[in-house]
Amino acid sequence: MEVAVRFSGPLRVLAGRQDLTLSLADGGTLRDLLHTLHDVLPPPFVEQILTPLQTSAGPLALMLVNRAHPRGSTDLDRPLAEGDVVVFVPPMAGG
Amino acid sequence: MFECYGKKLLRVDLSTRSITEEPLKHAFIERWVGGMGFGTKLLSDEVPPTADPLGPENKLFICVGPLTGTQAPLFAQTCIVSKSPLTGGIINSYAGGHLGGAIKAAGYDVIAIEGQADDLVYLLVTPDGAQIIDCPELAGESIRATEAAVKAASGRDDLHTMAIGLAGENRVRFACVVSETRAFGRGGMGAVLGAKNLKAIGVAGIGDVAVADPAAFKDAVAAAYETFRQDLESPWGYLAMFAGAGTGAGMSLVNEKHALATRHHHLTHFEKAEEIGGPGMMEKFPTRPVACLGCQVHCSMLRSPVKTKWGEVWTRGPEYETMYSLGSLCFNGDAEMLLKANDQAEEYGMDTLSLGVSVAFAMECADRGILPRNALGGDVALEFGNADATIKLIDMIAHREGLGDTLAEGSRRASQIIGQGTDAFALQSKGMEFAAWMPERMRGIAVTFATSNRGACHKRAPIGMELMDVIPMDGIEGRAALVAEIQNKVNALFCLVACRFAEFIVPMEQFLALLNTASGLSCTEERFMRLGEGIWNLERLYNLAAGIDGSEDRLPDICFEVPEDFPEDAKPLTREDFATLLRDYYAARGWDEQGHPTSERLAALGLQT
Amino acid sequence: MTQRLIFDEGKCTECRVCELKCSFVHFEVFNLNKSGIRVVSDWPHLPKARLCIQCDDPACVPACPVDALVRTDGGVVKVLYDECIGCGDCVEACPYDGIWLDPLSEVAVKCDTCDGRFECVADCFVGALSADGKEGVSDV
Repeated sequence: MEVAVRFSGPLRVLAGRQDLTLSLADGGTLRDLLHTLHDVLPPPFVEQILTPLQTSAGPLALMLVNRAHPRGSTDLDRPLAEGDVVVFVPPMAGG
Repeated sequence: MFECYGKKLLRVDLSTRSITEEPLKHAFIERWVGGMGFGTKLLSDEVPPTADPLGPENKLFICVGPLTGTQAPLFAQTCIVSKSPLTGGIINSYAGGHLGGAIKAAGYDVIAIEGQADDLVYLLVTPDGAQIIDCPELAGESIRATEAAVKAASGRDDLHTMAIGLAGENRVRFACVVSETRAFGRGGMGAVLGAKNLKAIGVAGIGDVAVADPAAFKDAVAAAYETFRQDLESPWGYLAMFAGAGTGAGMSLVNEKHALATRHHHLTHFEKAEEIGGPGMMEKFPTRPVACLGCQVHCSMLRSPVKTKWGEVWTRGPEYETMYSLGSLCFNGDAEMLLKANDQAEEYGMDTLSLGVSVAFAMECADRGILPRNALGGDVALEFGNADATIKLIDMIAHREGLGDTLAEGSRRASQIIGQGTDAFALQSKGMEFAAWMPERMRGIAVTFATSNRGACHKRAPIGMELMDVIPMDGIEGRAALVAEIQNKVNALFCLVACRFAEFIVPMEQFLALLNTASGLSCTEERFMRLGEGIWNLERLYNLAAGIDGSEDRLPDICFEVPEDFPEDAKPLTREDFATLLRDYYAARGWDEQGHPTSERLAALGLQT
Repeated sequence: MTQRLIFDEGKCTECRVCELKCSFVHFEVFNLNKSGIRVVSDWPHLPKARLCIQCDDPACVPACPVDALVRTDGGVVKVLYDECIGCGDCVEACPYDGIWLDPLSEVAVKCDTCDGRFECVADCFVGALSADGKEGVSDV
C-alpha cells in the first residue's frame, strides 16, 4: 500500500525534502514506516526525529497521522491504511 | 518587604500639566501584586465605566511588576490598562522590550496618564525629573522617527521610549503604541494616547532594584534557568522553536491541522503557509534575533533592510499572528508584502491583528459584491490575495481616507456602517478582532473569544493542548472550566509581569518562588489563582457597568458555518454546543445564568458588589 | 597571562542578562549602570559592548588620586568601592571606554572578571561571552 509522507516547516530542511511516497506491505504499521525511513532520510533527521519517536513512551509530538498526533507507543503498532498521510511537523505551544 | 517594587506611582495630568508622585500603600501592593492587578484596580477606582475612551476622563495606567528589572527570566513586559475605544470596555495590553526595566529603574511601579493636552506633547521622565514637552514638529511623524527624536533631544543613551504614529493621532480605533522593537498591540491604546495629544513617552532611570532575599532569589533564578535550558537545548522544544524562527515557527503545525484561518475563514488550510511562516521568512531574509530584557528566548526576528517592490523595508517580525491576519486571512502568500505591511503597521502604529482582519473584511465584502472592487480607487482591485490592495488599504486606514475611514472604526462599527448583513461575518467579539485561531476548529478558542473581557483574546486559551491533541480540538467536555482556569492563571501571571511564553514551560512553584523571594510575600498557589480570578471578575464588573453584558458573550454567525476544506473527521461548531459551553462557563465561574458574578462569588474573592 | 571577557557581537541578542547578573554579583542589586559590561544597541547594526580589556599597562590605575584601582596578580584591575570617591579621573584616562561611574552611587564600575569566575559567561545562553587569555595588550 502507498502511504504519503510530508515534512513541514523546519523539518523540511532537516529531511532534505518536502515529501515522499512509501510503499509498505499491507498491514504495515507506523512503527514499520519509521523503521523504513531510517534508510531514506539523513542521519540528523533519524537522530533528532525518528529515534525519539520510536523510543518515546508518551505522546508523539513530532508527527501527525491523518492530522492527529499519535497518543503513544500503542499507536505505533496500529496498522496503516492505503491513502494515510503522515506529516512530520514540530510541536507548538499556543499564543 | 517589597524591596523589588518602586512603591511609587507617577501621576501625569495632561490637562493641567501637573506631575506628581504618590506612594503605593503596602496593602495595595500586597493585594494586587503588580502589572495587570495594579492597573485593573486603579482603572476600576478612577475611571467611570461609562467614560468616553477617547475623552479626557479616560486614563492609561502603565504598570510594571515585582519581577520587572530583575534577572528573573521572561519578565520584561509592561502592562497598559485603560478603557478601549475599540470595545468600550476594560483592556489590558502588553509590550516587551526594555521600557519596563527603565520604568522600574526610574523608581515607579505605575505611570498614570490622565486628562488631555491642548497641543501635541511628549512626556520625559529622567533622573532630572519629569516634564511635559511640546512637540508640534512631531505631528504625523512615523514612530521610529519619533522615538529617535525624543531620544536625541534627551541627550541620554539610556532612554527607552514608547510612541504613537499617524494612526494614533488620527484615532484609528485599533491604533497601537510601539516601544522600540515591541508593541502594545491590542485594543487601541494608540488612539487613547492620540486623543490625549500624547505623542511619546521617554523614560530613563538610574535606580537599584533590590530583592527581599538575595540568596534565595538567586536560587530561584537558577531553577528557572534550568527549566529554560532544558527546553531551549532541545531543537524542537516549544520555546526553542520560537528562539530559532520567531513565533511564526508554529505556523506549520496549525496549517497541517487544518486550523489556519484562510481567506476570511472560507478555508482552514493555506497552500502558501510555508512561504510566509517563520522558517520560510528565515530562509528568505537575513535575520538577527533580538531579545527583551533578561530573556533567553530572543523571539524578536529583526530583519536586515530588504528591498521590496514598495521600497526598502526594515522591520522586526512579522509575528505569527500577523502571518495570519495580513497573510492567510487575506489570502496573501507574498513574504515581501508581509514585511512591508508589518513595517507600515510599525510606523503608523496599528495593531496588525485588527488591521489585517479589517483588510480581510473589506476583501470579503468585495468578494460578496457588497463593496465595489474599485473601492480603493486607481487600478488596484480590492480582492483576496492582492498584495498591492493590502498595502494601499493600510495607508488609507492610517490616513482615514475613503474606505479607510470606515475600516479605521474597527470591523464591528464598519459592519454597522456598511450594513447589508455584514455583521454576520465581521470577525470580532465585543468589538475586538479575532486573533489567529478558528472557533470552528478549536473549542477552547470558541469559549475564550466569546467570553474574554477584552474581546477575542488568544492569550487565555488552551491552544497548545488542543493543537497537540492532548485534548480533542472539537471536544466540549470540561472545556469551559479549563478555559476559565487558564484565564485566571494568565491574569495572575500578568501581575508579575510574565511573558506568556514563560507560562508554557515554567511550573507554578517556580513562579511563586521568584515572586516570594523577590518581594517578601508568601503567596501560595491558591492565593495566586484567586488573585487572577479576582481581577477577571473586577474586569467583568467594569464591563457590565460599561454596558457590556452576557449578550455580548457570543460569536458571529460565520463561526457556525463550515469552511470549504473542513476536515471530514472533525465536528463543526454548532449553536447547541456553543450554548452548552457558555452555560458550563458561567457555572464554572460561579456566575448566574445571565453571566453576572454572584454576590457569593464576589465575597469569596474579597470583592464588593 | 591575563584573562579578560570577550564579547561576540554576532551572537549577542541584546538581552542584557550579563548586565543584570554582573550588577547582582557585585552589588546584590539589579542596576544596569552597575554592570561591568554594557551592551549598546545600534539597530539595524550589530550591538557593541563597552568592556574593560584589562590593559597590561592600565591608564586608569595611576589616574586614581586615592588608589581605589588596584591591579591584581592576575593582571586584572579591580575597583575598591569603599575607597572610590567618584571623581571620574579614571573614566577620563581610559582610552577604551572600559570604565564608568554609576550615576546613583558615583562609584567607578568596570569588569573585574569576578576574580576569574566570569559569572556572566555561564548565564549567556547564546554563547556571546567567553573568557580569553591575552598577551600584551597595550594601552595605546
